[in-house]
Amino acid sequence: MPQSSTPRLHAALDAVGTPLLLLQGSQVAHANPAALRLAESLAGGQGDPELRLRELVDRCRSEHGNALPGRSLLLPLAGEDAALALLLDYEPLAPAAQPDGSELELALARLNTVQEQLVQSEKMASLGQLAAGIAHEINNPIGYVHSNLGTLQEYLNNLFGLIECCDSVISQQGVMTPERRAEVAERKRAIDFGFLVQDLPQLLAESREGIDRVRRIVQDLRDFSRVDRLETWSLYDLHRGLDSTLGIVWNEVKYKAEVRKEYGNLPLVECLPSQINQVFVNILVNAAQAIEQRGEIVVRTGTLNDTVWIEIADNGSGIAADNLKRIFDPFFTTKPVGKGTGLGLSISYGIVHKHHGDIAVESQPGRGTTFRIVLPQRQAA
Amino acid sequence: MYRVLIVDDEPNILTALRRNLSNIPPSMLDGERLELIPANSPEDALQLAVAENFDLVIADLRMPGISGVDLLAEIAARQPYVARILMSGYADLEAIITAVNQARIFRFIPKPWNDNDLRMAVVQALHYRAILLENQRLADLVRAQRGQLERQDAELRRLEMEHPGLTRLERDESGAIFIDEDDL
Ligand SMILES: Nc1ncnc2c1ncn2[C@@H]1O[C@H](COP(=O)(O)OP(=O)(O)OP(=O)(O)O)[C@@H](O)[C@H]1O
Ligand SMILES: [Mg+2]
Repeated sequence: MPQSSTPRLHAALDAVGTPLLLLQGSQVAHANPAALRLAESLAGGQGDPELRLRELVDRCRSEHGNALPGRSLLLPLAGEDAALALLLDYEPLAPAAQPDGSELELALARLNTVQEQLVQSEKMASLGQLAAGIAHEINNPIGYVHSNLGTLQEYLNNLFGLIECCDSVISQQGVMTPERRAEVAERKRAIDFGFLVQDLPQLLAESREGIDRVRRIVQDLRDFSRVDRLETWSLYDLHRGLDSTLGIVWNEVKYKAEVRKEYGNLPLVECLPSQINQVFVNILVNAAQAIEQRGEIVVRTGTLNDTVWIEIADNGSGIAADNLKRIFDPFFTTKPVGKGTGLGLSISYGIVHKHHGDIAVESQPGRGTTFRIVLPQRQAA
Repeated sequence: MYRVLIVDDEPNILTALRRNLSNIPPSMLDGERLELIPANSPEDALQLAVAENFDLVIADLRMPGISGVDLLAEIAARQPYVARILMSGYADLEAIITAVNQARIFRFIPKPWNDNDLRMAVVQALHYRAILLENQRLADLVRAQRGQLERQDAELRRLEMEHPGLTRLERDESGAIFIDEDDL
């Protein structure tokens, strides 16, 4: 490996959990342990590590074209549940030419961009996973509202016909003969007027309910998918966040669990709302996936001194003691290929710590799992 | 009267389908009327299918407990001639493939659906089922008749063994038997 990059930069890269490669031209200048692990796992533990890394880079280049955009980027690997961050042509200045620490800062700034990208791409991935459920939740109400509108059209045609019939009877001169009365009555019978009068308000109420449901889901999606770059720290109602998140994951949850909310009194919390919501999505989806047949998910909130806490508890499969230490590692998953990327909790961990909070887990195999998130109400200035 | 079982965990879908399907003119159904029986859960539907016969089942794909595919397959095992339609707000290719292969559905209808398409699908499903039943009836008839023919054949063979040439005797218009002089 080339000599120009400094050990301090390497140390900084090594401290990051995301697989990271530092590239100089086509050379791998440095690979952090996470990247080595990734390369190893992709090759099934065989062959020369350096060779495998080079293969990994070649694969990235061929999958994403030779012209890699930008200077630092996160690349999903096709066919693998993995992503790789690349730092391109990062040239540390000669040690003498710069003050201490600035190089590290630069590297950190770049790493932060990579982390942002990772958060964003994982959010998109989890939205992708949820897409089927969300489509289902939206297409059902649209289905019956649309069909009801067709029925409404037929009802109206019938009613207009009846009005015309009444009109023509009225416009005939003279007294209301029994024959004319019978004509109107016959018309009413033909269109099942009694049923129509009873069904029409019901049809409207159901349709309105459907439209409300679609509106709520769209609102929830908007809350959830706000683009991070534009998002600023703001005072946010975490209960609203939990509720709209539940709306998004509802299709994954509703067939698996009853959801019980035990909300305490929460102040507004200074946070990045859509990122916090992403943490809720990850934990709620995990909880639903941990439940085999039918179970319960309890969402509790409360305050403690100048922090708030959120607990999400399920009575699903629980986590074996061996796995418990590893669940926050990137790419750690016990789910079958295609089901999980193993990124959910590591991203969540990163987000919570960015908020100077903490996330902890308690689990009993066979009994269930509780995740507890603690967040400061205000970020230090 | 055609009996149609409609299964969806969403009550508003059931009422919308009822409104939609109750407007099919009997002229399109060989003069028959539709009796629409709603079921709010796959369990309810199974219970109904154990007790009563249906001509057509329309089921949603994603339901709690039992999926629409499994439900249709289960009902088909009990009532092989029931026509089956699957609906869904979202289904990947895999789900549709199992629906066709396992539950051998007649149609897949996406949600939101087109009212006319749905009515046509129902009409065609019922016709298709009628044709299947008619085929079956004819096949049974042929089998029965063939059985009868075989019995007659066997009888003729027995007579021929006992009296060779007997079955080949020629008769004239009056029924008299010709005897070929060479045979004597
Ligand atoms: N509530 C839970 N109950 C049981 N096991 C859990 C629970 N939450 C997490 N796990 C375990 O932790 C692992 C890592 O979770 P994580 O969310 O990081 O990844 P994943 O769910 O496997 O994949 P992804 O979230 O990227 O789709 C899971 O594979 C699972 O084994
Ligand atoms: Mg997960």
